[in-house]
Amino acid sequence: MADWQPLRFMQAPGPKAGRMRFSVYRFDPEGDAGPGTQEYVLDDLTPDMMLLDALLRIKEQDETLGFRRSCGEGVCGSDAMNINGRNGLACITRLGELVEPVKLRPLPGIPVIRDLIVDMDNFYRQYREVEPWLQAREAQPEVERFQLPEERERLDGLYECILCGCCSAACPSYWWNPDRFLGPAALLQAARFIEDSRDEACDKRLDQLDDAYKLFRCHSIMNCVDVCPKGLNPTEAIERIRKRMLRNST
Amino acid sequence: MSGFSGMGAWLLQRLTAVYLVVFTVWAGIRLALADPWSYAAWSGWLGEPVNAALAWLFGVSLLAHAWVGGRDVLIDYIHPLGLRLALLSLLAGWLLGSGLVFTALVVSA
Ligand code: SF4
Ligand code: SF4
Ligand code: FES
Repeated sequence: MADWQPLRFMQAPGPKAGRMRFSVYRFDPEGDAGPGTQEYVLDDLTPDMMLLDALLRIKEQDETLGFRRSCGEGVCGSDAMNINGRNGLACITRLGELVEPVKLRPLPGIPVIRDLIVDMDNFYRQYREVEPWLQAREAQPEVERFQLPEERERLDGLYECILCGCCSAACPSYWWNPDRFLGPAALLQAARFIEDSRDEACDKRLDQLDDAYKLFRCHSIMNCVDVCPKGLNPTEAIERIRKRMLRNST
Repeated sequence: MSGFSGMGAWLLQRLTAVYLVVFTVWAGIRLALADPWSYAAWSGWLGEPVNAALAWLFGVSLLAHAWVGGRDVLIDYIHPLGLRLALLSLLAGWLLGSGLVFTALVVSA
C-alpha cells in the first residue's frame, strides 16, 4: 500500500506530485550565452510542498541557479516571480496547484540581473517618490497621535502591502512607462498616507500625483488586483486617490 | 490642479462622455418622435438656436473626448519624443480643423 494517503481528501487536486518537471529561465550576465531555459526534474515531492521548497531542492542539484528568498512564509516579498505565466510568491504557492512543466520566469517588464533575480531599483525609487512616511507639522505629541477606530479602518487593505512587486510587474501601463508611471504598488503606498488621518501633507501628495504620468497612466485594467498575493486591491486605492483629487479640484 | 494633463484631462474625459450619452439619447428620441418623419422636421428642430447650440456642444465634446483618448494612446505607446510630438500635433490639428468646419456648418445652418 505504497500510496495509501489518509489525508488525501484534504488536498487540492493536482499532480500526485512525486516527480515533477520544471522549466526555469536562466541568464548569466557574465556568460557568453544569452538567456535560455533549463529543465529540472525532482522526485519525492508532495502536493502540499511549496514551490520555494522545490526551488531549494533544485538549488541543491545546481547551485548556479539564482533566486531571492528570505522569510519563506509570504511576509518579506522577496521571492516574487512569474509562475506558469502569473506573478506570485514561490513560498506560498503549493506544488499541487501547478501544471507541468512548471514554467518559472523572472517578473516581467523588470530588468533581469541573473536567472530569477530582477533589478528592483526603479521600483524602490518610485516607492520613495511617494514619501512613504507620516508627515505632520505639529511637534511630536507627548502621547500617541490618536485616531478614531473609523479612521484606522480606512488604512485596512493599504498597510498590508509587502512590496513584492507582483502587481506592478503585471500592469501593462507599467510595462509601457516604467520610468514615469509609478505603478500600482507605489500608488497603493501613496494612498496609505493620503488616507491617514494623522498625515497633514495630503494636499501636497495629491498635487504631486496630478500629472499625465504618475497616476493617470492607470487605465483600471486590474491585472494588479488579480495577482496580489496579499489579496489587496491597488485599483481601488488608485480610485480613492482620484476621488480625493476630484474633491480637491472642484 | 497642475495644468491640464492629470485630473483636468481625466475630468474632461468623464464630463464629455456623460454629455455625449445624454445628448445622443435625448436628440435620438426627439428626432425619432418627429412628426412628420421628414428631413424638413429634423432640420427645423436642429435649426432652433438652442438645439443648434446643444448640437454644437455635442460636436465640441466629441472632439475634446477624442483628444484625451488619442493623447492617452500616444503617451502610452509612442515614446520617441519627436514622433510623439508630431503625432500629437497631427491629432490636434485634425481635431481643431474638424471643430472649425463643424462650427462653420452650425453657424451657416
Ligand atoms: S500591492 Fe500586493 S502585489 Fe503589489 S507589492 Fe503590495 S503585496 Fe505585492
Ligand atoms: S488597475 Fe491600474 S495599476 Fe492596476 S494593473 Fe491596471 S493600469 Fe495597472
Ligand atoms: S520568501 Fe518571503 S515572501 Fe516568499
